[in-house]
Amino acid sequence: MSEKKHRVSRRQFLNYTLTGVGGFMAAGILSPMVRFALDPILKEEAGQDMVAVAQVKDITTEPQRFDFKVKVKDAWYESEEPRSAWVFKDEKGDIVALSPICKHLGCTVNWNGDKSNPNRFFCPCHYGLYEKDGTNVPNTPPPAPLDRYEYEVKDGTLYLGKAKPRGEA
Amino acid sequence: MKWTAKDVDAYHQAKEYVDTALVPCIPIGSTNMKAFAEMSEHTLFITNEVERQFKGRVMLFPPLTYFVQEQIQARVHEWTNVLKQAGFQHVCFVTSHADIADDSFIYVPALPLEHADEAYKQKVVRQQVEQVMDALVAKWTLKN
Repeated sequence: MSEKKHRVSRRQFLNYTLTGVGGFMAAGILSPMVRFALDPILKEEAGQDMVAVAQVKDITTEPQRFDFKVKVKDAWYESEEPRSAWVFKDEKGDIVALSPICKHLGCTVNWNGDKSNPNRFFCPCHYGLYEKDGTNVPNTPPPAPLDRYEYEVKDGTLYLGKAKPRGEA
Repeated sequence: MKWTAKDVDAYHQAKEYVDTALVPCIPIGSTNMKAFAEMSEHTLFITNEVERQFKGRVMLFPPLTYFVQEQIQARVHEWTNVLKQAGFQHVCFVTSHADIADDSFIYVPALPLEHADEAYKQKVVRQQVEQVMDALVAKWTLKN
């Protein structure tokens, strides 16, 4: 088919242009809708960044409390929230970072807080007890072991992420 | 727990465990405003921090706000009675206002920390938070 013979009729021309323009308009309307519908799937998990907390050389087998701050974003409002962690090395030399939030009602637990229960975490509110590895002592109020922070070691610095219930971390 | 809808829900579920009411007392004055504002800020900061540590046993109430000319004792007395009737065995008032602070209050002096360096500030605040926490623990062990 040579160039000369290919004639576009008025009807065809209008057809092409209208479908083209219409298609663009339809795409413009539909694509945000599709995006909104898919949004929850595409959203990356609101994982907070890892925060530098301590130097690895400072971590001993005795739990120590480290305080740090995380940025919390609530819609448009960004704030810094204080957090703490009890950090120590277990027998194998692995770092364990426990959340100090009592699983009972959310008080802050202390290491060796109760003199009659040495080497345990103690919750002063309702006398809850946890073993060193965070396991709750039976017959005390806490219903579950202490949460563990996700951690990462980079260049001798300990970074902590989210606190997760044991079994997941 | 705080005075928010969410925490109050939690309170209803765990009523028997929450037996302490913490009330910050905030002065308002028409003169020397800045000093009173500092006191308020300080008191609220300390009580917030105590609430964070003792979330499961302490209900942090909205502040008892008063004019400095006011006689505060009667109101403190009334709050204590009402809260005790509501099931809070221990009612603690915290203030930075030296003029009203007697034995029924836990007194946390507001220091001029505006220009102090961060480390010193944290140390002072932590000491006072611990002081309030010790006072609460002392109350708890006394009655149990």
